[in-house]
Amino acid sequence: MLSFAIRRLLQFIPTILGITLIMFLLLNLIPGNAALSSAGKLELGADVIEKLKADLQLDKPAYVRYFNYVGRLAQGDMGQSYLRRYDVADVVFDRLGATLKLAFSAIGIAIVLGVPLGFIAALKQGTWPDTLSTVVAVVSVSIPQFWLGILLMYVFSYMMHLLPTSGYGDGASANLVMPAMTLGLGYTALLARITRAAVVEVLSADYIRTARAKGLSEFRISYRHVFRNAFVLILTTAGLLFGSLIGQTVVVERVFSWPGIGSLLVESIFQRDIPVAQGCLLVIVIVFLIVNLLVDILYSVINSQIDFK
Amino acid sequence: MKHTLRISILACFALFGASASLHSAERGGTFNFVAPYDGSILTLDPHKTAKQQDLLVTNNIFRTLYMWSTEEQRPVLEMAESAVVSEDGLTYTYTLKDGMTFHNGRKLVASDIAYSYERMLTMDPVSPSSGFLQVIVGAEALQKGKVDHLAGVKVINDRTFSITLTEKVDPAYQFYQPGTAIVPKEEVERLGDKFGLTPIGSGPFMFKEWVPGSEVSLVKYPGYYEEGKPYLDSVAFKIMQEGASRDIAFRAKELDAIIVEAPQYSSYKNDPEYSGDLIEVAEMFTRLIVWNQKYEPLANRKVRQAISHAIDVDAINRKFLKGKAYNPVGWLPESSEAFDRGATGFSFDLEKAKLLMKEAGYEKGFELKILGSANMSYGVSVAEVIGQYLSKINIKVTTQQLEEGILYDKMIAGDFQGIIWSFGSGPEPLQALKRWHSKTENTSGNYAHYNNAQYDALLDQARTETDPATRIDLIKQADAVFRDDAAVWLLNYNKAVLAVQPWVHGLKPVAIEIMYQDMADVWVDPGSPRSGK
Amino acid sequence: MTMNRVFHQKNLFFGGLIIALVILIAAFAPLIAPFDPVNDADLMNAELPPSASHLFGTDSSGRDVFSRVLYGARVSLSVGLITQIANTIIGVSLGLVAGYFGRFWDELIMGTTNIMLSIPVIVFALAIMSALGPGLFNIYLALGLTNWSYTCRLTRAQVLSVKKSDYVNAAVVLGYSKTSIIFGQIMPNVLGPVLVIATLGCAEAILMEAALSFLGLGAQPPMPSWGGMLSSARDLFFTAPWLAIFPGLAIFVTVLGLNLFGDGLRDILDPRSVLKNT
Repeated sequence: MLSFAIRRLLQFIPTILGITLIMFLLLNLIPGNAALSSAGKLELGADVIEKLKADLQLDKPAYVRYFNYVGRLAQGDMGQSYLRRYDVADVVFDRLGATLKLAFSAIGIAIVLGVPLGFIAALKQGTWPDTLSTVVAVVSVSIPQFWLGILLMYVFSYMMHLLPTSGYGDGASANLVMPAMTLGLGYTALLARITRAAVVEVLSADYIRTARAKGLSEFRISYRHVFRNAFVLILTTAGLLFGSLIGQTVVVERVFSWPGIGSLLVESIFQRDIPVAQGCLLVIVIVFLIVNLLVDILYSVINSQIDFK
Repeated sequence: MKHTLRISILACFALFGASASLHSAERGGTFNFVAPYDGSILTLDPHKTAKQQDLLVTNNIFRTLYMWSTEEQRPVLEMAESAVVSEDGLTYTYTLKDGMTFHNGRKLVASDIAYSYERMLTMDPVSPSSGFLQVIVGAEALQKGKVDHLAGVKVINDRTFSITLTEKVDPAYQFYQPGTAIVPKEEVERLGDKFGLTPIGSGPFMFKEWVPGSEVSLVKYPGYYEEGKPYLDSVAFKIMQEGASRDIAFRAKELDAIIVEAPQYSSYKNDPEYSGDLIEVAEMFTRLIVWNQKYEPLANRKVRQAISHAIDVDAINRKFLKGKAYNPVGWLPESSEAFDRGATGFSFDLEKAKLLMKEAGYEKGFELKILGSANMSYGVSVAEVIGQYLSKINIKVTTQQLEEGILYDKMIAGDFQGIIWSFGSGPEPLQALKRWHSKTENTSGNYAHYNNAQYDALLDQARTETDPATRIDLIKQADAVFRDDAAVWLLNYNKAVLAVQPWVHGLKPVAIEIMYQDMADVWVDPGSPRSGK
Repeated sequence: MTMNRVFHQKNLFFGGLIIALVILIAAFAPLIAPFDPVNDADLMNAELPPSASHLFGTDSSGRDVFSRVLYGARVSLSVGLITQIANTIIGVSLGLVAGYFGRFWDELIMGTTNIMLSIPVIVFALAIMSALGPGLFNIYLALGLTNWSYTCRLTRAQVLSVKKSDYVNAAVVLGYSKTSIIFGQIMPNVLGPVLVIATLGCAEAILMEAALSFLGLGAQPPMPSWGGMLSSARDLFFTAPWLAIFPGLAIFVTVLGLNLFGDGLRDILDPRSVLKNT
């Protein structure tokens, strides 16, 4: 197990290198003068602009900057923010907590709502709860996320004055509810769909038929066999969804002014703070890779236990 | 229309004067304000940023030698009780106010001013506000590393120092800039890069906490030098970029004041609960389309004048921008001391426009591409409306939306036909008009490459003129020349608007940037849910 | 089970119906729309609420929202269609090459695919759009070049399983050319699942275009794109809600149609193979 994890971790290295190259190319292709926009809306003399460029090393060719960047990255240094003028790592990791909080809450909502919904649909195949949960699932993946966000704001903040509109507040749950709902709803539907399919598959398996023939009650069947077996698939899916969910925070954080990595990324791209944008992308990708690795490990742990039994 | 607007500004001033004398200020409470501009606050080190989003906070943690006065509509001495000018008008000797301390308790002395200016000039990367210090003798030499100290700043004793200038300008307009704030040397050196994260200044409020991307909170500094101030116990700046979110949060009374954008303006204007308390000011930003005269049709003065006559600018400002704008006359805004109250801008006159186009030989029109940002008040959406009008004189307008960073590049490279934008046009009128002087580098603002000898001569004359009234008159004449040339198309002067809860007192119509509020003067009465009573 | 089957056919039916309707609207927009979506603007009639003459009201420049929503179908459908054609072609070709030729090609392509998979599509598209600037063509590029990993993996897996089958071995022995094996034997196996991925991807691309527009990196205004209309409506949500409601509904209904159709398709085809790969 350990060697597996280590091997996988080593495999990260070429992937991450590839990603840094792609990102560096893309972000440095972005037109717009980083030195100028770092100075804000001031009309500067040409010599000040030149000096800024030199200070930020923007006068060097791109490949030199790339090798410098990778070289520093290898030593764990993500560089300095053009605009903030301190370490990118400080800027990015200050924001990671908020994004993880949001992502975990969203996936939590998706699991708490989606899994039971899928179970009911599978156990009552073809009846109205099944139909309803399928309809809910398709509908909720079809709503544009930011539109849903604005609609929620309208209803819960503007009309009912129940929840704060946006921002982090003191990090309390009231501020978290709407962003997490907006982000989690689409994933609830996906998870419900996956759960339903997994349960249907398990239910049609031979050993369940045997159990039924043995006269075990439906409840015990669903508890003992179905849940445990479907659990593996659900877990794997939840892990994969978590990865794509990290990307989706880009939009949701922007709508709700949630101070996470996603909104920081968009902002840094617009402000041409390229080192910070690179840092955000890198952290998003690494979180994605780590979550997938954890899911794989968990998957094999659970699988081996199941096999063992 | 014009008159009522002007009166309302005056009324605003009167109102504030009155409210200060009628009630005595209450103490305590928390004020929830916003930081509404482009996203996160980047740093709270005033020397390392030029973003309004950052400076509107640092403005309350730090103090500058001069500060903007809404009463006098010009910068006035803040940290010094007096400034004596030498006979040649180049050396200013300042005596600092007594009892000023930094938030670490140390007494603020004359050498702190010298240190702060030297730090700005020797910083790497260079301080974006270092340009304001170039009027000091020796600034350039220090910045280029030729000398170790700023020759033009001499510390005489703990409370006295002098600044020598390279030319006869009013230093107030340089040293009031929030980016030139005074910082304590020992803390800057102790904290290094982290000074921008936990700033220590000499302003009315001390830094308390910063949740990156979300809010900055400040608390009252008990040792602040102005007697009895600040009134508030604490101030929070909530970072809220989305206009709709600010709107809801304000109406839910989570915020004590917000900046109002055009889409929300009419709803506040018509809301009896808030319409009476709106703070409005002609901000010193002029919105415009810069024409590139390298594009042949635009090189023709008559064509540019025709364009100005063909667009109903009043309708755009009234309908599209919901009245959150002042119709333009010349470059200088209504709040400028050299604004010409007798003058008028281009009239909306389609016949005249057609005639001018005919005289210019462009009766059949031409194609015109206008670039702009996504900004709702001075972006491509406005250019689209302009296209509607220009189609009447056969000019076919297309628009392209680009990010500001790219627009900057295009503007400097001259790679455009027209760009819709917003430029600072104050506070010092001569400095504002200098932008269009033919000797001004285009990176410094003359993006239109405007070149008119008569205009240049008037500005040069004004620069050496000693009689204030004649000087203003020359500036007015120059502005008129610029206006008649129609080198740019003027859209409006921004009307900056704050919506304020009824329990709030002491916010002011700050013409340089309405968000640069000095929170030392602000107080809340017991009506506030955060009054602390 | 039969109930279920009928239901899923219903999915297919309703989904298909919605898609057909949207296609019709897109095709005949100039005939149905009462106004020109860009040029019929009258500032004096700005922000009128829905009425008989303007079914969905007017926007801030005084343009007819109903007409703009109708024309918007063209933008959204083209985004969905073009990007998915591009993704499918890239994904299938790379998958075929990786699966069929194996070794170096397989390693290279799968390595690239893994890198692509670990960058969230929206983030990737965001970076590309900011490099290229807003515009419809750039949207095609940003979304058409980034979302092919699943198709590629699926095609490769299919190729590998078919390659081992006796049928193909027999074909090779009989001297059939590689191309005819690929197109004759492997493509039909891949086609079904790929179609499902493309249909669902179409829905995803439309949502993605809307999200990019929301971030200011969508189609160029004044082009009537639903995402763009929504984006510029958000500040007016409380004064002119119709500006946000109608384009939002339009996106929702179209995406719903595509999702229903894709779901139905998936259930008719072998449900398991698709599930595992998406």
